Amino acid sequence: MTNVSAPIKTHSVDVKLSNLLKIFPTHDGSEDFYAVNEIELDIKAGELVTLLGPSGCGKTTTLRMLAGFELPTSGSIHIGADNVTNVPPNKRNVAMVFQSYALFPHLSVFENIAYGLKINNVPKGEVIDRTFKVISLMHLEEFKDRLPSQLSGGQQQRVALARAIVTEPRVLLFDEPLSNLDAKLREYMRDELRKIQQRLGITSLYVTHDQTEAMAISDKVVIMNHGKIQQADNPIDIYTRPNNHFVAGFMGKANFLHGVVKDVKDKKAIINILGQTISVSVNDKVKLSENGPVDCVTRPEFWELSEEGKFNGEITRVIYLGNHVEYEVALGDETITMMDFEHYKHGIKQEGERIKLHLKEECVSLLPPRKEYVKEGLV
Amino acid sequence: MANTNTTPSTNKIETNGSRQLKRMKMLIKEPYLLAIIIIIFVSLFVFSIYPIYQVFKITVVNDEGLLDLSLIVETFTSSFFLKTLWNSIQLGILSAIFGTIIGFIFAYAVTRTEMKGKKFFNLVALLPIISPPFVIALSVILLFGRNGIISNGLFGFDDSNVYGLRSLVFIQTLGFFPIAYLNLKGVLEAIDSSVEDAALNLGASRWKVFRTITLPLAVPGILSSLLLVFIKAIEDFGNPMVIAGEYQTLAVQAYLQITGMYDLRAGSFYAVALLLPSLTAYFIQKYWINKKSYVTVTGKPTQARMKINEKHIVLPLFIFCGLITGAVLLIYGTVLWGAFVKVWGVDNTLTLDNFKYTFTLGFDSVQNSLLLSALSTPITAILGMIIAFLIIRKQFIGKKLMEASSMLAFAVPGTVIGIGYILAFNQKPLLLTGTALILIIAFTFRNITVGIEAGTNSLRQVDPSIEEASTNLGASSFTTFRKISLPLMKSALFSGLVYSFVRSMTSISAVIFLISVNWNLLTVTILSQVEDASLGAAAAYCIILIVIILIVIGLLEFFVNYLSSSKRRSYR
Amino acid sequence: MKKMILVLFSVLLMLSIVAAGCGSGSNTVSVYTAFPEQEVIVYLEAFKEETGIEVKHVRLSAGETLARIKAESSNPQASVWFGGPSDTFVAAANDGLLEAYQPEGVSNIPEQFRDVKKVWTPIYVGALGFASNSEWLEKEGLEPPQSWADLLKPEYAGNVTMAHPASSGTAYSIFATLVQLKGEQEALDYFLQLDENIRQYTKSGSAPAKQAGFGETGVGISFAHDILKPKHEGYPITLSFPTDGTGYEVGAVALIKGGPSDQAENAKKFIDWAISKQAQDLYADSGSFRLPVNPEAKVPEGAVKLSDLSVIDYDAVWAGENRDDLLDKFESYVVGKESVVE
Repeated sequence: MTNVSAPIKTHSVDVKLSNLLKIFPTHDGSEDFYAVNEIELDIKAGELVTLLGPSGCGKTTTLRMLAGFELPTSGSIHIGADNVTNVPPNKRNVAMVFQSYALFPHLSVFENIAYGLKINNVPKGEVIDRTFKVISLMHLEEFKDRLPSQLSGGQQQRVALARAIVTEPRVLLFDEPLSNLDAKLREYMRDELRKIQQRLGITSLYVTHDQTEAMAISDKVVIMNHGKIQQADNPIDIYTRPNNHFVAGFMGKANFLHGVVKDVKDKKAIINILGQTISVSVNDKVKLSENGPVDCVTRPEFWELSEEGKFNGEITRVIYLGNHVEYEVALGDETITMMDFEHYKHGIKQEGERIKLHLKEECVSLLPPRKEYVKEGLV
Repeated sequence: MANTNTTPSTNKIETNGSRQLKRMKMLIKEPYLLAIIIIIFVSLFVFSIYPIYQVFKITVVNDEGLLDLSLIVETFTSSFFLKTLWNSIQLGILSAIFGTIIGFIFAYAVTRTEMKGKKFFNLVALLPIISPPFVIALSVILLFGRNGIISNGLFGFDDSNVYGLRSLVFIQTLGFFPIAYLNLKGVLEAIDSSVEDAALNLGASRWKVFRTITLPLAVPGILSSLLLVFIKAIEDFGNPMVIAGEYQTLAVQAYLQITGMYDLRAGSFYAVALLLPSLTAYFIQKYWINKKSYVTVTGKPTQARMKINEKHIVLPLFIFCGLITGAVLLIYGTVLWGAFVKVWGVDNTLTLDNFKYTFTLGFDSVQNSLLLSALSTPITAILGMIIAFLIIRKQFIGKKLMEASSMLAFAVPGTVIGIGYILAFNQKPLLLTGTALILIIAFTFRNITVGIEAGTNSLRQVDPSIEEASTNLGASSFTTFRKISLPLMKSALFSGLVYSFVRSMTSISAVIFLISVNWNLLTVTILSQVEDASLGAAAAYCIILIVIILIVIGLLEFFVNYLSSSKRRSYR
Repeated sequence: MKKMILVLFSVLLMLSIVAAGCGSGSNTVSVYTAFPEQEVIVYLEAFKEETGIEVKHVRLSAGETLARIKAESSNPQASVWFGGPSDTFVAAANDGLLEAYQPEGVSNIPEQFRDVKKVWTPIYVGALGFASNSEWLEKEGLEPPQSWADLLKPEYAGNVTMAHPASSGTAYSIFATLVQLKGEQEALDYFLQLDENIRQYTKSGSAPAKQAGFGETGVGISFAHDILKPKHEGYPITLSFPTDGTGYEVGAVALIKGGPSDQAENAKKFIDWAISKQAQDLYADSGSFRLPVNPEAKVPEGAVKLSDLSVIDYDAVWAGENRDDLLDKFESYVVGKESVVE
């Protein structure tokens, strides 16, 4: 679908969510639920921003407020220069791709896609013209007369996207659009989505709970938890420079290790962990004081088996995953998870085997200490 | 922009009131929606709540407008009233038990076995639903009366007495078992077949499976069937009027008190006495039993179930269903024959005189019934769909109230509605008695629950994001309803249309108070022919009525299918 | 949108049809009638043929008509009440529900039948009688009942049918006849006893005769003309009269007060016509066996004249004036007791 010239005019606009608050009353009259708690978010024109977080974190509510299906309790929403905070959903000109696709089951593929144009009183000739352009953009020609129930999941997904972009919306919203597809198709559609979004240059907000998906398609990833934004950054910084334990844990696996600061100089900190000394680059996320505590974020791939490694440990669990092997290793009082991508070179270790580990110190990032350690991603 | 680690701000907490206000503001943005909600509320109040209130009021307020409980005290201590009350309850209980048993056996046989002729049994069982209730009473007189073909002709009894409780229970059972059947069929079909298969797999016999799995799971359905048949049997007016004889029931007494004695207060009191058991039963059925239901509608097609085909199970069921079906066919066959016989039981030559009479001289009431039902049917169905849509999809103050009050006129016996309408609409500014409008309104508000129920059930199965998608693409609430929700409720719309038409055509208990010189109705004409002992003409009218209903059902089905398929052809 | 407009349009169209049906103009007259459905059709057709005026009608038994006229008094729907015994008319006149009208030619009608207050107009007369099913009599070896007392015999248990006095004018006439014959308390006792033998109280007064014809009951109490009609049609009926005195009805017609104003002239024409020779001849021509009140009209063949029977001097005015009171007593004493006895 790359060799068709873009049939959609786009007028990329900024989106700005200011101080957005959404409170849901609870049924038993007890404490209100702060679904979205005073968030600020700017989306630049043509950017694709992903809202990422566990269920109940407020990402979908934020999306639905932007679509107009929920009214914010307070705060404002601007699309371009327009304040749309209280504009009804049908007057916002933002298009949404739903998790369930929400195709109209009684209308054919063609009618589904043309629906938004007809509703907006586009002249009939133009409706047909524009609908056919999008149909060919999405490679749906042979399905145009089918009903949604006669399509596969991937085809339905394409119809949903086609229906959203045909109206030339100012903003495109995605509500976990790929979650109903199987793993392979999901990856394929993910790339297609991104390509089309980039080609059309439509400002987009994308909700997902899959961090790989988020990193793969986003200009910016926004991590939310408990109604608040935890971090908003480009995918690389999010992964390598997490703001807090939650972000670190949510973006893949992380081993948090207690450390004590020994010395700080030249943007480098000398830190004691597990009875060894490591040198880590300093960031502005944590204030370091000599002999003060600090948490080191070490991702499984930061560790490698190495005869020269400083760390001595014992393997407590082995999980073979094809392209790599995951080991749980006891290092003194702590247990860490590490990944070995070179098992084909030095063989797979056995449970109980004693090993030496090397830590890629330049990758480690620092966080303020926390009492309870979070091991596996989810809080 | 990252806004981490701050405590939730407390200065923005909204009060409940301001939240409601916000919702109302949202509604004001859609003035049509707001207007529709207000119109629906006003009309529900005027045409459902107010008339029923009037019936209650007149029983406790005397002619001078003062509170006066003497009527209640007097009536409650009168043995005649207590006897009548007991009669109604006794009739209701017996009919409910027999009707539910037959309905259950039918439903079990149809859903669980490989029995032959299931489609046929299913079809015949629906016959009593689409015909006026007193057809069966009429037929029983023709069959089992003194001159009946069976009692006299076949067995030579010449002293059979068909009037009284026994025939009444027989008639109500046969007339209302289809309600239990349809209800239980739905319940049995919805029980996940894998549960029963699991029991079989664990080594239970068919009987064990039935006793320990199927029956317990169907209990809520059985209870609700009992209540539904109970309500139907006690509120029915036509059959007891024709055949009860000395066995007085509340519905008939309410009518006689009002039309015979012109005692609106006493009549209303009988109606209220009728209302209490049936309203209680209705709401128990609706809220208590439905909540206890084990059946969850998943919307997923359940995989085909292993049907029972052991002979020793299927054969008795087949014989039973055959007998009941035979009885229904006999009843309707008799009416058909009665319509073509010169003088029933005396002169059995075949003739078209009865039809000639109905067509040339007495066709007004047929036309009236048809016209008024045809007018109220689309109004009922569309209004029902709109209310269903509002209840399921929209947020507004008083939603629960709208739901409950729309159910009221359905749950209340027709007699109460009829009396209430006389009381409420006999003076200016709402002077409606004697007009066609009062009948159309009575039909509409009596039947609207049917449309709402069908609509809410089908809407619940539609993913709300489908409608959001339409809104998102720029459609207003109204457009979304018309282009998306309504077409998706197509089958519900159809059943709403059919059912409200049938109920309008066959209703008698409410409308008998509301007919007038200009607007006499078919059912009332039939009843007066039966009363007059003009059985041939009555039978001919019944046949005409049933034929009309069948034709209209066919047309509606065609129409609804046509509407949906014509859309498909555009842009091909 | 086009479809919506179409739907809207068709609804409006249908509503206008309804409206047209309501404002039917001045060429109609609306009638409540107590005549049996199949009989009244004959009269109304004849009237239409003669005058060109269309008649709309609802068949209601006399009691029902009275109740309905009361209910509708603020907005009467019909302008003529056609048929039914005069005592119910008297009750209605006393409640101020009727408009006095004396039609042309009323002076030809014998004084004894006419309303002293000149509100309603007599149209037929007929005596109360017993309709016995001949086959049933034969099988049981019974003679047709010859007196009111005969009906109390145990042989008739469960085989006597009459209408309910509250709903039926006929049945009220039976009741009032016995009160006039025996006095109030004795009459009530009589009905209490008779109740033991009653098979069913019907709503309409002519139904007991038909039921006797069917064999649904052994004996039905009705007016002679209601008995003779089914007998003539071939039902096995034996007609007999109580020798200890029987009541009779004077069938009446009257204007309903405040009926639709555009029908006023037609309503008067209807009443004029009802006592005309042509109309009164219809009793004979249509095989209805009612006795005409117009002396010039044909007497139906086979009808029994009042002069041949031992009729009491039935006081319809008294009966009408005391209707409510007597019905209350009947209701509480006879019907009310019944449930206790059971």
